Amino acid sequence: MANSESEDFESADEGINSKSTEGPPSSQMMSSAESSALTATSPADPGNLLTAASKKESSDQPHGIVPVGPAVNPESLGAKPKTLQKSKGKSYSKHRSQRNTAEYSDSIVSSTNNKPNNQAPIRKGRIGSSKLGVKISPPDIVPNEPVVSDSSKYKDNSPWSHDLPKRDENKDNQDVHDSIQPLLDKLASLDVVETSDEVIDPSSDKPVYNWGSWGSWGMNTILSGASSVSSHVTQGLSTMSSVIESGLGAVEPEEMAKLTVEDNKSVNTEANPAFPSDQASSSFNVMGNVLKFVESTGEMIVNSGLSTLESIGKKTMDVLQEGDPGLKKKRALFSREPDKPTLSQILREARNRAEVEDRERVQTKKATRAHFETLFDDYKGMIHLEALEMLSNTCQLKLEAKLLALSGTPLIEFQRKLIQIKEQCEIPDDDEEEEEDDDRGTIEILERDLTAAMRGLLVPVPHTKLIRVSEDTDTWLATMRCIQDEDSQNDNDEWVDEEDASEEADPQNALREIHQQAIQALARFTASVAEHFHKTAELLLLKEEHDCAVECQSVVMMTSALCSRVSSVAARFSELLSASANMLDSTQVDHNDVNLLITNVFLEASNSSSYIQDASQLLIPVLQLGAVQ
Amino acid sequence: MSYAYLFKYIIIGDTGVGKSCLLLQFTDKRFQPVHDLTIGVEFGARMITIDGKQIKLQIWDTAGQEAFRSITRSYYRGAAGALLVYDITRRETFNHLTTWLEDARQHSNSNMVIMLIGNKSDLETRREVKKEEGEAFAHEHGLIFMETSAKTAANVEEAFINTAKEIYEKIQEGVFDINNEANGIKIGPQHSPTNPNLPQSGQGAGQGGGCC
Repeated sequence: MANSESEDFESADEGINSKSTEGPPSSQMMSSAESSALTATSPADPGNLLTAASKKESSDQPHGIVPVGPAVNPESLGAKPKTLQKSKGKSYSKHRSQRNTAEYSDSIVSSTNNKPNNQAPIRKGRIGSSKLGVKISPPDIVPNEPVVSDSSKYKDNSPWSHDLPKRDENKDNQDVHDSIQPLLDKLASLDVVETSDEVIDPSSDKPVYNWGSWGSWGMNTILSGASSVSSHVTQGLSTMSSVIESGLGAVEPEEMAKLTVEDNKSVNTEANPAFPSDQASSSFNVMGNVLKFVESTGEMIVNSGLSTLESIGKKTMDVLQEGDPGLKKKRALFSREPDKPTLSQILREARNRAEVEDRERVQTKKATRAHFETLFDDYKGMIHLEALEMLSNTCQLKLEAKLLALSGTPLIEFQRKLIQIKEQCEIPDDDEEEEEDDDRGTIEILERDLTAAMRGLLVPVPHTKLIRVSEDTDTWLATMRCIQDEDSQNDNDEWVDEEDASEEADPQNALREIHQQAIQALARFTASVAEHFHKTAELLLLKEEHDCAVECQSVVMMTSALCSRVSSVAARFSELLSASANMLDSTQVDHNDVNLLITNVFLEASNSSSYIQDASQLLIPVLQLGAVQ
Repeated sequence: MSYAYLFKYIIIGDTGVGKSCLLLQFTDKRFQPVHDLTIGVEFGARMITIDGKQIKLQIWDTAGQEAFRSITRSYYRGAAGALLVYDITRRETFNHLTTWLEDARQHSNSNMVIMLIGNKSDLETRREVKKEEGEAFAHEHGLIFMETSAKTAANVEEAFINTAKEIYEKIQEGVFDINNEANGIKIGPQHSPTNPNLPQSGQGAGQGGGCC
């Protein structure tokens, strides 16, 4: 398509060339409508065609300008420049000079004679494009100075008017150029002035324009890319010293200067293809230009980046060597002796040690929380029992002393009395009192029995603490049962509750919590019992008169009531445990674990009962001593 | 919770000298102007640190009333330290010290560390017993002496801790046989004890056999 088009243009060009000399009047009539300046030279038929084209293009012109550089249609970039390059004929330079003069002096858009106009529009395009570049690019990215220098270079025409013809070695071109040099200079100056209103550029301009904008577009993109990269570098190295920053800043003018050189080159290389009729090489040149841009900007970025890195490195070394010339200390720090443990080793060991300690602490904490003996000790049960034991021992010693002092019948009588008291204090088996199992263990029964026992013992030991402890336990159990009832109701409504699903470990913990509470309640109660027996023993020793039978009976009743209470508490906690376990899914709870917990509760309950019975047995010497005094 | 040693203390002295108040100040760091009469013995415990070791002080606060004397004597046994307390505002409490000291010496082991404490030092205006008198008595009987105030907490910590230091030094010197619990010193539990089916009271029965 491009070829055919260019051929069409070529033929048109030929037509122009041939007819321009002839100058038919018909064409003048036609073109007079267009412009007075053009009529003299414009051919009839092609002129007709071209005027139509120019009309169309001039109407398109605003579009061509408004979408600046980057918005240029690639098709127009590809196809139209070729036609232009093709269009240079032998007579073209003459035409061009004439056309240029006419065109620029009149400041009228050249329409039909676009081909001879080739050179001037190229320059114009360049300037225009660079102007465009200025327009589109923010001032901070592409400063104005390079453009100014750009245009100033065009102004003196040195790269354009002298170099290009030489290189091209076009026979007559040299002469033509020489002759038109003043004109060109004038044109250039005009050009600079004229660039302010670009809109007038004709169809002939447009392809060239596109070339320029293409180049500048690429340049601008690269430029903006480069500047954005450098700005990123600056941002990244915000900690850098101002010296380095200014260094980076100084790069920009260099960058611009380089780009200006590249710009010139691009103009040259763009202009060059205008002379040899080689389309392919021109397109390659364009590519080469772009590549050069990329190369140069890349080089620039790398260079500035390297210098930045270098200065950072230097600074780092300076800091490191501060007060440590030759880095001796730091080297010694890093090259430790082999036998010394490394930091990571020490840290690893410390971590392992901490882990072990943590595990032990957690284990001991767990153990103590549900450990009957420890809790019993914490509630001062052990020390009261110890004190009671000491008292009991003292009484035993006193009794033994009395026994030693006696002999004969009084001794037998004494011994009989001691044995009698001991027998009276025998705690009956639980089986005998099975019938009233339901009532036993409740606080009411306990309080009733304790009050009766204290009345029998006639010692002012208050049992309020025992009752209070029992009440606390009952309250907790009642609360738990309420929660459980609510839970079971909820379970009927919606079994798959979100909380149930999310808290996998919870059921086991809930059971452990119940178990812990059970042990705690038992330990607390037993400790209170130990204290109660201890105080009872102390006050019994202070008592002047003793009714041994009643005292023994009271002690037995008290012991039975307390032991019943312990069994009752244990049973209720076990019920709670099994109920809680049954409520939960069998998959969630290991029933062996539940059974273990229940067994443990009963075990500690029997342990508690043993303490209570032992405490009551410790009272026997106290009672015996009272009886024989 | 865990401790290296447990020292058993006993606080003795006439009624109303402030034994229970001293204990309350040491364990709870508070003062209670009106205190119930102690029946037999009450207990307190606190953890202290000596030489980087955790030491649990188990304090037996005995009743000062004459009626309980026979009972409280039972508790002297197995005490590593004793705080013998008198009231600086009541001369008779000072005068009774000899009896108390005899009791303590008689019913406890000979190595027991005894700290003489002149309490209520805040009541300087009502002072009846001079500090020098207390010092002289202590020197004479080989006791440590301190004047304290359970109300202002003056010297309360020091009284308990200095006694513990003295006991600890005796342990270091080898005076105390820490394996004999009759000395009032227990070695802390190395590991959590297993659940014994029988209460510990059984083993203590034979303990009392040695003394009459």
